[in-house]
Amino acid sequence: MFIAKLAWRNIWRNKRRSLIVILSIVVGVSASLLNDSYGVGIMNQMVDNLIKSHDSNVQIHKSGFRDNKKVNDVIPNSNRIKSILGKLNDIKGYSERVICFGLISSAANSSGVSIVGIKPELEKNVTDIYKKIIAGRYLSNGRNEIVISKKVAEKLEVEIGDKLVAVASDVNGNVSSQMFRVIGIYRSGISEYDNINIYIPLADAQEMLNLGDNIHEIAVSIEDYRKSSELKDKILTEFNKNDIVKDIYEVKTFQEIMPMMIAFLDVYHQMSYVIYLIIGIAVLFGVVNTMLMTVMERINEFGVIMSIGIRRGKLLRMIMYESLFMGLLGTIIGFIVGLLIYYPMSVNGVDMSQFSESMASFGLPNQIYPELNMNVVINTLLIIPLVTVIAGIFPAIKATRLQPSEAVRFV
Amino acid sequence: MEILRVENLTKEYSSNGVSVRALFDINLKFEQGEFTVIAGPSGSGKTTLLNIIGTLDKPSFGKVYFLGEELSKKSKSELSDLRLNKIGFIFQAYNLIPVLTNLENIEFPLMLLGMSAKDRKERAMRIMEELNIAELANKRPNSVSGGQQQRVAVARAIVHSPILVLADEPTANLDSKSASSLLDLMEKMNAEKNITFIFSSHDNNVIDRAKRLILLRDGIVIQDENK
Amino acid sequence: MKLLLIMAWRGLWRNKRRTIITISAVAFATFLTLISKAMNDGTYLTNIKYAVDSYTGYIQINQKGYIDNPTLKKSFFPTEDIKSVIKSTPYLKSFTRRVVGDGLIAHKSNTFGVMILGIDPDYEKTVSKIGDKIKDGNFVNNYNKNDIVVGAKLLEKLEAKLGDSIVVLVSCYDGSMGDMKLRIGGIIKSGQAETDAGIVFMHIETAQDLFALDGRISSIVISLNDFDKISIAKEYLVRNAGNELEVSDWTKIMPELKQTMDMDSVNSLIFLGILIVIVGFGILNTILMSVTERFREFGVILALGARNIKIIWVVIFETIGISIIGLLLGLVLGALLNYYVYFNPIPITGIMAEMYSDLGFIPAIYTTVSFDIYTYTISYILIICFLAMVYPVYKISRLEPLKGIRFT
Repeated sequence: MFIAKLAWRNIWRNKRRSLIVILSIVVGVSASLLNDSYGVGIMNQMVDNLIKSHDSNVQIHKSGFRDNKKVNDVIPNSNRIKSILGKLNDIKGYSERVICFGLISSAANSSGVSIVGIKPELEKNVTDIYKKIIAGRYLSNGRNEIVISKKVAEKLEVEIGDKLVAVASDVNGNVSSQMFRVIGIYRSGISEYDNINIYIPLADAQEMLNLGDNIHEIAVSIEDYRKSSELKDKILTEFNKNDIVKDIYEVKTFQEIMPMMIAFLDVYHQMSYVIYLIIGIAVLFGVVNTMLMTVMERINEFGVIMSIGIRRGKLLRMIMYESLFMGLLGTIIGFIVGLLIYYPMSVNGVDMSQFSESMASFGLPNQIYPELNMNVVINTLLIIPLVTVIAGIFPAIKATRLQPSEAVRFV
Repeated sequence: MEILRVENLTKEYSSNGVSVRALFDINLKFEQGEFTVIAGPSGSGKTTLLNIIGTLDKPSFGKVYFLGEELSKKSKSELSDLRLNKIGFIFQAYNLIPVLTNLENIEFPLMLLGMSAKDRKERAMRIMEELNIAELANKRPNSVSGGQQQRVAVARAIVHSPILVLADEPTANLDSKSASSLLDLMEKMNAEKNITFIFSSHDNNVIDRAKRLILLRDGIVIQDENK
Repeated sequence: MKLLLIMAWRGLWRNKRRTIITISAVAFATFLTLISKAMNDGTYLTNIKYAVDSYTGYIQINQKGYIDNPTLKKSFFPTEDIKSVIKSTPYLKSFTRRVVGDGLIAHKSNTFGVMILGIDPDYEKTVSKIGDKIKDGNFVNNYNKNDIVVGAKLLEKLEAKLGDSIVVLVSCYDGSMGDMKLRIGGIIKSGQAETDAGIVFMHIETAQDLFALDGRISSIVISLNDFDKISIAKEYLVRNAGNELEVSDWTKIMPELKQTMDMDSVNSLIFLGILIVIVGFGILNTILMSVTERFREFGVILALGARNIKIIWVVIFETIGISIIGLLLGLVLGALLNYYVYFNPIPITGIMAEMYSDLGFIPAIYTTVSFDIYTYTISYILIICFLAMVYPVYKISRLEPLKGIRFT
């Protein structure tokens, strides 16, 4: 303990020098904090956005539907599936959907779209498109209503109240068309969806495609997206319990539905460690250099106390404490500074609207909210002090190598 | 010819909140060609007096005249030029620049004066020969002995032909043989080139050699004798 | 002056270890800055050129407003005027016409939405590389104008094979519905999901018929000889193309790409900035310490009558010395790596590779050896080194002989 006290005081022998080192650590730590929390924010928002805009946490289809969305591949016995889901109590909700490709045309133009037939009340539990309506309203239970994205609306040059014709191929291979009125326009901010998803009432879709009561997709949602795999397992277990032949169905988590995104996020996550490494090395240089200098200046002093009889190990520890304390001090202050900058950003978000096209193509909104999680906190608080300890090793060893008499004579 | 005069010189400074009077009401005159020692126990104010005479410090009260000019109104640059042109210094330790060779150290004031490289070298070498230290020319200061270092310091102090050389305890770190030898050297310069030497010292060997002895105690002149 | 330089140079080597560590820190920051900028710029540039060479073309000419809202309504007649303007464009390599529209493709009971691309087989190959990815059958040609080329994935989804007939259903220029029966004459496999599942190719005349365009086209796609001269060519076209047409380069056609590139640059700038600041602190401390430990020496020099500026010069030279050595070291190492990767791009593997190809990017990291990266790096690093000097120089300017001599 005495050694630690001595180490602490030694740091302040040359205030300016120590402050400069600590300042460099403060910069490094706060930068790491902000960078990491920004990254976490991006990852979470990306996933959240994609899930909430359309994909949801788990999707159930007839086996093979995901890859080849054929209009005939309806979910067999969908009522049974629905009742099983009804019994699960930790889901937020599920939604029934009919999905097919079609062409919608206005007087001005036509566009290839993915026609999604939904039950608006159920859909609200699963996606938040209803919150992203920017003109008109969401689907109600009326017939022949259609909600399209702003992009599509612009392309077709239509507004609320205009009429559109949807054309698609039904289960028998016949071309079927139906007229709809635009009652709502949405904007999800995700290019992938804004370019092609349009929504009509489930009943209309079923009628248009001659599906009867059948649906193509059941989308299930839960609160915490991280529990999606658990949910999938639960569903499969229930299938087992109810003697449902698993091969007929496919139950996919959002990770399986968008493997690319997940891979991208993984890589992004790894990158953040590289950032820590680089910042760590930069700090390392400064700390090693400084520690070497302070140690070399005190060689005489070390010689004297070694003559008195201090053990080498104690001296070594003292020097490493000096380095560690500067690291800890810098880390704590850096963390606080980082937090102070983080809070307003996490509340107001970081405005990226300058890059809105790019953001949309990644599935990100224009405002990014950095997020702190335990991982970030631990990384930030642990890595730099570790670096300073490592930095202290070489100078400490240098100092303790000398014989006392040599050290005293050192000029 | 009078080169230096101090009138009613008083120097006070505060150290840790306590006011200390280093010099009190000193009145002295110095002529060209003197070989004078300011002696006294430690804390008597010798170094302070020397610093003020050498324009490194300013008095709290009183006046300093160098070559008839009063110094208090002069700017830092003017004093700096004055030192460069007219004064040479020899300190107790840390005189020489460690990264330069002895020869280069001696060339230094000449460089500041704007002398060409060729002329500088020539002049510095000449001085080194005069002082019998020519063989030390290309060595670094910390590879020669203390006595030799001080000889180099003397060379540097006089290479630019100053009127006055101030030496603060120049023999303090030397053994008696080197000290004696250094004094011989300075006496020689004093005699041959008519350079005024003012030392501070409490070394008896130095005091014995002085032509004029000024004794200080507690900041006051208690004796001023020509021998 | 020269003596001061000598003092500065020797002063650096008084404490070898300290100087070497500081130089290494500068070299590290330089190296990192150089290669990250080189890789960033290089990879983006390569990919942009790839996209531009493979598909989008260097410059496109369209009806005004088309790029923002690509509809059949905004198709136009390619007049002789515009053609001659294009022919006299500097750095022109070639140009071609295209028709673009949406439609449904159906086979048996499988219907899918597709983008229909009508191309001119004689000229398209001089402008893009779409035809290269043909896997089976023939690409669009003048012999079988009623053939259609589909992607491998689409073929699978349609449950069709080479030679089968399919029906294409579209909404025409005048708003009416149009359809056509076409034979699958070729299969394309580009590796990009979007292309292989969502785009079909046919002869431009067939497309014009299908969409009832009456000779109109959607765009003229232009290829140049030199990527770096795009702005010159574009300017020429803008001046001469008239008021009804708009001229766009890749930044307009693929804005997400441009923005992603910009965003990446900003990120790098910030990160490198932080890095350099941290290293800057290290340099500051080094200089400060080497200065304060020489205060006695400096005090003596001042006592001799030197002006403070002389000592300041010595410190400036020392700082420049450390900065330049570190800079050169970092630049050389960085340049070596850059050149190596320039000739041997680093391939990306695994899922990332799939993702890249899927988006139309080449799965590899490239660098560039253009001059820019060096000026960028050098200025960034030098600025910090000079800033680090400010405080120590300030301290020296205030130094007085006695203060220095008495310094403990």
